Amino acid sequence: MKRNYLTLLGILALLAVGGCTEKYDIRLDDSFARLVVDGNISTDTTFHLVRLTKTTSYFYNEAPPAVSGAQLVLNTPGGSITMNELPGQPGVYATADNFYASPGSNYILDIRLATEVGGARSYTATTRAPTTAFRMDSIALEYQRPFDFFLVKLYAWDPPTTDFYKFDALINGKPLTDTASRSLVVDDRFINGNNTNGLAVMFIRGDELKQGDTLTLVMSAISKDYYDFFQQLRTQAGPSNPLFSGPPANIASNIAEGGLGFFDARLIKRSTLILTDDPKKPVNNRP
Amino acid sequence: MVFTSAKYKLLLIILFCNLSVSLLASDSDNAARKTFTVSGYVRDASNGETLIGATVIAQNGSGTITNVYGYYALKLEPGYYTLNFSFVGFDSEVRIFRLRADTIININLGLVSRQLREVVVSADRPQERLGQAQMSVNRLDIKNIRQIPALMGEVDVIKAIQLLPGVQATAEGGSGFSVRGGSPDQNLILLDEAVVYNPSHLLGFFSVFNNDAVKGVELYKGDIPPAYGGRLSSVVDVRMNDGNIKKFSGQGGVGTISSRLTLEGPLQKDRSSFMLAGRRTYADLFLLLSKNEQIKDNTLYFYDFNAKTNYIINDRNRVFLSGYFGRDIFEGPNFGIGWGNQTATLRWNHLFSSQLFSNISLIYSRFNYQLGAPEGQPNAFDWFASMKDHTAKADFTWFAGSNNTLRFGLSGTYHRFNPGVAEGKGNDSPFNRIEMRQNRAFQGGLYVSNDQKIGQKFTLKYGLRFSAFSNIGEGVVYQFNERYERKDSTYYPAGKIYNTYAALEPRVSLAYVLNEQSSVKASYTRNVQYIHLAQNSTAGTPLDIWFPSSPNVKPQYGDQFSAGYFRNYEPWGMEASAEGFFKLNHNAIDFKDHAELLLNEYLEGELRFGKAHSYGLEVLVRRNAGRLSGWVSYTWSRTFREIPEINKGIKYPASYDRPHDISIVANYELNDRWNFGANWVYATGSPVTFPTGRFVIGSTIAPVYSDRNAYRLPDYHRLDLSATWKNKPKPGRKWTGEWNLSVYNAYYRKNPWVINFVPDPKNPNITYAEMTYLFAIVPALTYNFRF
Repeated sequence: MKRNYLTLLGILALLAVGGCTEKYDIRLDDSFARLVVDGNISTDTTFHLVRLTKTTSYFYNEAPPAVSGAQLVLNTPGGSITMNELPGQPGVYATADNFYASPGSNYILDIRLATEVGGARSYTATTRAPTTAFRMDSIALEYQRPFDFFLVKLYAWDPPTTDFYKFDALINGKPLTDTASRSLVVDDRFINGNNTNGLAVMFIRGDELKQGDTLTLVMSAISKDYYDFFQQLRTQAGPSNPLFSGPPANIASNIAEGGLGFFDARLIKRSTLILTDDPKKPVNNRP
Repeated sequence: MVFTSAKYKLLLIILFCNLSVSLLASDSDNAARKTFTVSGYVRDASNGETLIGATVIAQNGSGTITNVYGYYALKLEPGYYTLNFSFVGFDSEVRIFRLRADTIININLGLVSRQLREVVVSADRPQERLGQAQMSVNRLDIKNIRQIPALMGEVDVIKAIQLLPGVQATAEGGSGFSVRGGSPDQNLILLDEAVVYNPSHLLGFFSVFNNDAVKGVELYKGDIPPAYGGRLSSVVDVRMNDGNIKKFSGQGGVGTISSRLTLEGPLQKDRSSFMLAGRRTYADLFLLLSKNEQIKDNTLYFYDFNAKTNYIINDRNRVFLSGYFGRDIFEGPNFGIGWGNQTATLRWNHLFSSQLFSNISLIYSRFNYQLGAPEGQPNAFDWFASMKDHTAKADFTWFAGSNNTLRFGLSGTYHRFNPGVAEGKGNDSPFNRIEMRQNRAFQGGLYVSNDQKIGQKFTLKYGLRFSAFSNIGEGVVYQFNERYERKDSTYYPAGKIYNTYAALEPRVSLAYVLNEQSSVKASYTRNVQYIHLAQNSTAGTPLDIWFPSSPNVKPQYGDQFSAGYFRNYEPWGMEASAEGFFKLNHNAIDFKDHAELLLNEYLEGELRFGKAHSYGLEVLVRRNAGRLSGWVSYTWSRTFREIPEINKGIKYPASYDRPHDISIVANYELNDRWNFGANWVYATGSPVTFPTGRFVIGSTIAPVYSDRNAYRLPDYHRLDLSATWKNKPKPGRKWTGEWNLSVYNAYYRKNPWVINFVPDPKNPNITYAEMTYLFAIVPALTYNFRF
């Protein structure tokens, strides 16, 4: 939350002095290619995906090269599961569709590559599903006319343990977008043990929602390490400015042997709102 | 810990032995050859303001300069003397007299007349400074500062300082600055002796110093006198005007961004005066012009007040009371932030005798900020933090003999740090109250130094500062393991002193006069810093968190060596200097990657410690007189940091490492009515960290970075111009006015403020570099008046 206000402050500062931006030509050095793991498992019963790619030069300007033909084994408390590469989707590996993660369980993902990437053939990621006993009651929308955006307000209960959450939105079942900047991760320091009483957790632009749409907010309990990873990803992938940004630094990872990215286990709850009325119609005392 | 090592004990003994021997020697001199003291104040004849740094020289070459209260004292043998009093921009005064007893000569200097200005090139007698052991100091009078073209016409002390050799602005348009490679929090910024913790208004684009209320500034970049302590890099000593003691007068200005008004006058003529100064910006009025509704609803302004009064009780006693209050307000419909400094100083100048000058001060200083979302808004909250000091200090100057000037004193400061409290607003707020534990600490200092002349050519200045710092309960100290994870904590009850650091800070410098025009100087100083700023951005924000040294945070200490050559070209009124320096900073503080500095109870776990060093050469040629005045400065310097946990322990250039730095400041007085100013700055681009690779998570492109600060921004350069047109001087006219047109960034250089790497909105696989620059050509018109 602190960060969001800092960003806002930074934008206001820029507006105040009237900064201008333009494209800039720059030559950057290349670093060697490393393995990138992007995947998670959750308490949903479905197939869970892990995507393997490689790092590229910064101005590669194409989709990242997939790492195909690897053997992925997920070690669970109930035994080992093989994750198979999906036909037609090179580099994407999936569990069976009856798989689900259990709160508090440890999961180890073993990756064995067909050829060496980043100087190694074997990579491992270890994660533990959180035990957060949170409750998600409902969501509501509030339209902010001066800014033409909706706030998604959350009614939920956070248990008195130390917990971390991620929020994602789906409109008519489709992810709003899956760029990190549109998702939010929070720690529960400010709300620990409380009912959230309509805490605003997400912005949706005015043109993204209309009457008849179905809005779903996904609330996931995540681990501390994944929270750090995602927070860093958001910061480092987003714009920086000399006023509020610390020095750039590489994003943490839980992929042993020098891989990048993250493999995590999360607990998922959802709440859905069907917009039967015009969502921009004033519903409260705000003009 | 080196602080109490045998080496320093030895040094201490040597210093004091030397001191006592030389003083005894001067006493025996007195017995053999009786000397008398000439002393007094040097003032501006028009308003009674004391002049700081005015030169007093006798025909036999003995001389001195006035102290920060305008006082001087000179020990001379009996005889006939011609004393010359001079100060930049004023006519010199000469007094011829026979010295038979201690004599008081108070001098009022008149502003230099135009006719004279055209004939006489130099009114100052800079040769006195050649022989002084003090080096690495720059003095700027407010008159010099006003001649420099300024951003949005807002003349600014800090922006003027940034044009001096060895000083670097940390970001375009910002008030943060680095002195000889040090961090911005290593600058001790004083306003009438009170520490100004955050000298910036409007996110740094303006400083807190209102130029109408300020007399001048001294910047110590090295060779910091022992009277000052607590910071490693520099001292910026800003003094407020005392207030016109002769007659009621005023000055002010109406500018593009702000207006200001200063009123001053005698409360009782020649005894007591006051000064009141205020200014306010109206940048928010421009926001109303914006078509964007989001911007329109914001308010954005700052205001500040300076007030000072003083009372001359008698020849031996004078008291001063001064204060500053400033506030920045930045408010939108659902978010607001405000911050400001408040200072107050009560001072008592007392002359025990003409030879023993003293000043006793009580000082209060506070910086605070609050931000939040108002009640009724979603996620309404309040967050505030502050830093508060109470200081008492006493300083003495003893003009012990014709060859010795002894300074000594002591000071004590009680610090209170409130790193932050945040809480929700409204009855059904989901937010808990998050309260950082307050910290309390005491910082004490004790110093003695002597300026000793040895023969006609040699001057030695040596001194020692003893400093001590204690953490005072109530407090909790967290213990961290080698991976900086919290293991344990210890609680200390209120009033308990649970940790103390002490250090000796030797400071030595010497000057050798080569001839009438030139001298060489060298110095060594050690400085210790006990409080630090948790700030890892380069430009600086109002969200400052100061934190004390503690069992986990050792004090930073620094050693600086400098040597220089100084030369005056008197026929042209020019002075030139070349100084080299080497600086080593131990226990330098940096922050771990992705550090969380705000509202973090375990802030100390985010700190990493190492070494920093810098070295460089500064060349300055300055002309203070004549129609064409100004300076040219060139600095070559490097500054590096080495922190085991940062950049894999490899040495990296600090963010302030900008090897080449040039400033040219020129002012040309065409005639009585037209005056032109220009300045040009050039600096090597700041070091930055850029990506050397990328990877994709979901559809977010994430960077893989180079080594820390492995790249550089393009070089920075900028030209500013100004023209001032004064109304016709008429005899008997009380109101004088002038129009000032300034142009910032005159040839429209797009100096990158930041370079970001952003995805193309049309094709998310494409990323490109995008540079943000802050200022196009910024013209500004200001009307200044005086009555």
